[in-house]
Amino acid sequence: MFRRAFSIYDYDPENDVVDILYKVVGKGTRLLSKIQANNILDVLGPIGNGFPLPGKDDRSVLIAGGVGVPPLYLLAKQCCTGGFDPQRLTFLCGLTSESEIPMVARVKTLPISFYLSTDDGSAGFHGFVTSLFEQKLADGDIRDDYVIYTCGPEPMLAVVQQLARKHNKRCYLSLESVMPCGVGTCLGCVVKKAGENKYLRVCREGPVFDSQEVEL
Amino acid sequence: MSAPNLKVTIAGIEFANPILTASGTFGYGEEFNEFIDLSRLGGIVTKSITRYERMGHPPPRTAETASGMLNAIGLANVGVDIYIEEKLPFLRNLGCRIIVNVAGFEIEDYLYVIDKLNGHPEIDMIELNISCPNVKGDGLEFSSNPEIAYDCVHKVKQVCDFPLMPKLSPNVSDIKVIAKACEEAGADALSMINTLFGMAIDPFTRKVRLSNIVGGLSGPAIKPTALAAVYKAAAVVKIPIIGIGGIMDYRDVIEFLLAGATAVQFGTANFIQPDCTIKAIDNLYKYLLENSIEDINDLIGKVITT
Repeated sequence: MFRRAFSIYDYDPENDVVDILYKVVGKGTRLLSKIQANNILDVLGPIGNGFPLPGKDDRSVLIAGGVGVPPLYLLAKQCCTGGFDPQRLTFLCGLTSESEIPMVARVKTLPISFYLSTDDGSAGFHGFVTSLFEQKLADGDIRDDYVIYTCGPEPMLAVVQQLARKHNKRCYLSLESVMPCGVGTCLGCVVKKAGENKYLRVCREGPVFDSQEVEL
Repeated sequence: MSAPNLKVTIAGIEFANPILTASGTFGYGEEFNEFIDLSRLGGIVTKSITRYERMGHPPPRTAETASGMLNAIGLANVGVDIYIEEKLPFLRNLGCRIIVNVAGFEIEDYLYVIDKLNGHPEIDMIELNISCPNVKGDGLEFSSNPEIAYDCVHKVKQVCDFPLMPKLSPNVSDIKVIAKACEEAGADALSMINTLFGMAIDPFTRKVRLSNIVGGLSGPAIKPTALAAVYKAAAVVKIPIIGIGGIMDYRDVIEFLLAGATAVQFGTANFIQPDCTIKAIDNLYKYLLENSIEDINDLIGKVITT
């Protein structure tokens, strides 16, 4: 009955095409997966904010967990095409197993450092992407001046948020939430504001937040 | 045939058409300004305001159910002072009627808020959310008992500068009794229904889907309940009724008018289609034209029951 909120995976301004990448998890996405070419969809958007682009001198690490890949791919692509030195971008991606590798096909086409982890160890680093991130921190591959961009399941974001705090890094989280309206009126998609008795709307004030702004 | 009339009058106030937006589904109006021409609406009912600011319940606050939505937002709102300072100015001169929904947890709360709202010319009417627990009483909703509902509406009516419209809960044994009590207490109109109590559980995680455990059910799932409530209440009160509950398009509007409502409020539909109200106004007009009905008021209460 409700609309479903998706992040934008790719955008082709010349042909006016927007791609979304989603996982079938319930009734809504199952119905969506039955849509045929040339069917007309009613779309409301774009809504909410986006990631602030890193500065030209920043180094960034993009940490994606599963369905968190799409917005981070687009961010990485924007950086690569926007004159940003691709050497300054590191992309860490956590998937459940190698069967999900098609999700990162486009990420792999970018000239950036890419590292994969899988929960079952079937490809790349064996374990959660947050553990891979910790290893990179310990190895000194990711240094103090890195800005973190992350999107994925909330437990993963909470760990990234803690690591960002511990290592004193700037960190931007893109949150997922059930959004009945998407325009800021139903107040259904809220997240707790850090240090205050207030909730922020993921659809309006977000979905991207400075990790210090919110309590997960 | 001349242009059909869509205007309706409630408590002496003329509405350009019978399409209003329901409290809690339309924010303070401004959120929808980028989607629709607000001046075309019959009226806007703003989100429940309370004496003090309320942050509301923790997430998850909503859950989708079969043809419906459960919510337990917890009356999150800015409080009456900020409402007057920051929200009312936007509503001035919008060109549609402004109804302010007021909630409270004891009668003094309602009186306090009403006293603050009195004298503000932007406001056309007050909708009284009496589906809140009466914390100084037995904790049951004001709207659940005719004596308490009477007492609340009566006391508010004494101090209220504006026409007063209690919003009735469907979670009662006989809505007719409550409707009658509100009318006797001086209500100028009634709106109905508020949400039905509801709950949802994830069978795989065994967890409740709302942090508040129970919430209010809205959407098409409750339309038949709402329609019956309006029909029953309309039979026992003389004051006008605004119908609410699962209204999605102009055909639903017509059903409510036929059942006895003078106007309606669109709620959950706003979340799905931000311009649902404007479409309904246009389609209602077409319906009148195509069926050679000169005045929308001719539909009110005209359901054929035999």
